[in-house]
Amino acid sequence: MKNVTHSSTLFLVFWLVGGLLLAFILVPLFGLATNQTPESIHRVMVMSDVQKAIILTLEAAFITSLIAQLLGVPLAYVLSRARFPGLKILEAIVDIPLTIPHTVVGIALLISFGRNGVIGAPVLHWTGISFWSSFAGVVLCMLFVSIPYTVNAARIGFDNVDLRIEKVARTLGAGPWRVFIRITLPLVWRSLMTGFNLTLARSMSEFGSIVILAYYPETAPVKIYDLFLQFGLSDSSAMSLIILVLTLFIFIFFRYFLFGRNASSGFER
Amino acid sequence: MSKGSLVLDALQVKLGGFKLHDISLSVEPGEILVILGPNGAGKSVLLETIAGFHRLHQGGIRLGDLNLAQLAPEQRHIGFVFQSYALFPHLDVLQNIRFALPDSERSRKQGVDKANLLLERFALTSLAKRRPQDLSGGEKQRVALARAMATEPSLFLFDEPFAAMDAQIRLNLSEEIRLMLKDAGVPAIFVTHDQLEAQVLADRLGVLHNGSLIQSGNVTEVFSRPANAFIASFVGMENIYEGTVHQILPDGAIIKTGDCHLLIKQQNFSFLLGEPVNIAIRPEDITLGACSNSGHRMSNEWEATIRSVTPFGPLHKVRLEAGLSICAYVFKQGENGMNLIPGARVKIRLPAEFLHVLK
Repeated sequence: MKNVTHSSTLFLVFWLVGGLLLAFILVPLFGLATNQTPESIHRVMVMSDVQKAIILTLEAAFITSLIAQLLGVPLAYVLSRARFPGLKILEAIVDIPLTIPHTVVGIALLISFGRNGVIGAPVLHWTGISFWSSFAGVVLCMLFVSIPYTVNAARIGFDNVDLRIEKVARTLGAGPWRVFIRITLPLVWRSLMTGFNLTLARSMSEFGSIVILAYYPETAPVKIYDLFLQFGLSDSSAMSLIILVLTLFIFIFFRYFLFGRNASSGFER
Repeated sequence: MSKGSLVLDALQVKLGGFKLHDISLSVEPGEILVILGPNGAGKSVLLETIAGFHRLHQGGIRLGDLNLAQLAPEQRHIGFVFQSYALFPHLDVLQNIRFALPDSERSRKQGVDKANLLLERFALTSLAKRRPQDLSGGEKQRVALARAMATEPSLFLFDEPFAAMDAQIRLNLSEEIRLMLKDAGVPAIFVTHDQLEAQVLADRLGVLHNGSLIQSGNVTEVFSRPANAFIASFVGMENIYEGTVHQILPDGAIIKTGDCHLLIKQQNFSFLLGEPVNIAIRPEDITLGACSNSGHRMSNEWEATIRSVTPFGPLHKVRLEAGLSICAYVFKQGENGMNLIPGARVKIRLPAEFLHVLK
């Protein structure tokens, strides 16, 4: 039987438009890859400050994603379970970092978390930790711009848990904490990992706010910008390719980690 | 396992725009109370309130000597079986059951023995390592019951566990639950909107409508003498007619509906002469017979024309016209040489003792 939908002109036109979009994503990345010589990649790869920048970016993004889980999961649970007036406003607040320019984020963080900021000054005074031009500053910027991904992914997970499953666990003698740890968390595990993955990717790619609050120590995106300003396209594009491959590798690794394993493993004795 | 009875005393719950009004009932150990009601009547809210998920606005809940209202859900020892069973999808059958063991037993040999015993008792031993998604409906129910039994509950609550299942399986599972509950000897409440399920399971029956318990009693009482027209239609009394009290007799009355006069036998007839009433009869209580020319006519007996005949399980559902529109259930073979085809004339009788007058 003829498939009416798939053979219609509408479907054909939409395929063409969609194909253009896919090409738009892939062509620049492909161009970046083919524009390099092995020599230029090797030359950039052995630079110690490039290596440092990459390692710093990975470390900071990983720590950011962990902090985001610790802070974001409780909020996501509250947004999913509690019903109160003003819920919509809280949801909107969570999404603010997605909507404002990242240079604005950098300026705002600088004002509050800088050495003289309302939070930055006391933190510096009591703990000696400065957010200005420091690793902590990098993590702070990454956290601000990527936290919506953690919260929203976890929120979707919590929304999808059948409440009857949590209720029956309570009637079986488990208190709220045991239900959360033994039942709810394993059921939202995949959503949390999706959030972790997106947060990690978003953190690694952050530039706009970091360049204002913590230009140094240089993260990979800042280093690429630095190379571009100092030495032009050749070195910066070689480093860009290295970052691109690394990012894709991590992305694919996590996808495999997510979907190649059973969601419950490690959670039940 | 304590063997106390469950007592709800003028229970009131407010939940958003919904309310449960003054629900009072009691269930004895070993007794099954079925709460019947349409969707949105408040059946689930009632059960979840007993289980501790909604705050009481007023009233009390006692189980034996225990004041349940003061306890958290995990302290109430209630075996709650939810719609579709709510098994833990990330745990296998054995882990589902072990989750319910008390902390003191879970990791000890005592707990292992108890879990194995439950697996055996519910014929689940060979399924111990299966995940819920790989189980049939009947197997899921056995896991849910075994899991609930692991907590040694003092009360069982069932919230339409068969809602997503085939009609045939439902009846088998109802019987299984009834046997298990009789064995456990604790009070049980089972809510459903299915009157067949209610009949199979119930020792007593309550009807819930808009948050109020509008009738309770034994099954026969509710099914054949519903308190009002809503309950009557909900419990399958398909024949409900408006009429007025025409004459009051020592042991009943005569009700006029349309052009028909119906003789009613009802003790304690409490309506007044001329009062508008509803009159109802269950389809299975109507007698059909072949038309004869004997000329002798009993009371409440007429000739009627068959409008339609529809197979209905082991019965036929026959719609007839005799001044009133009437629905009757008869066995498939027909009786007394009746010709069960549309257009045929038959004799029908509405036995006076089965006709019920209500508001």
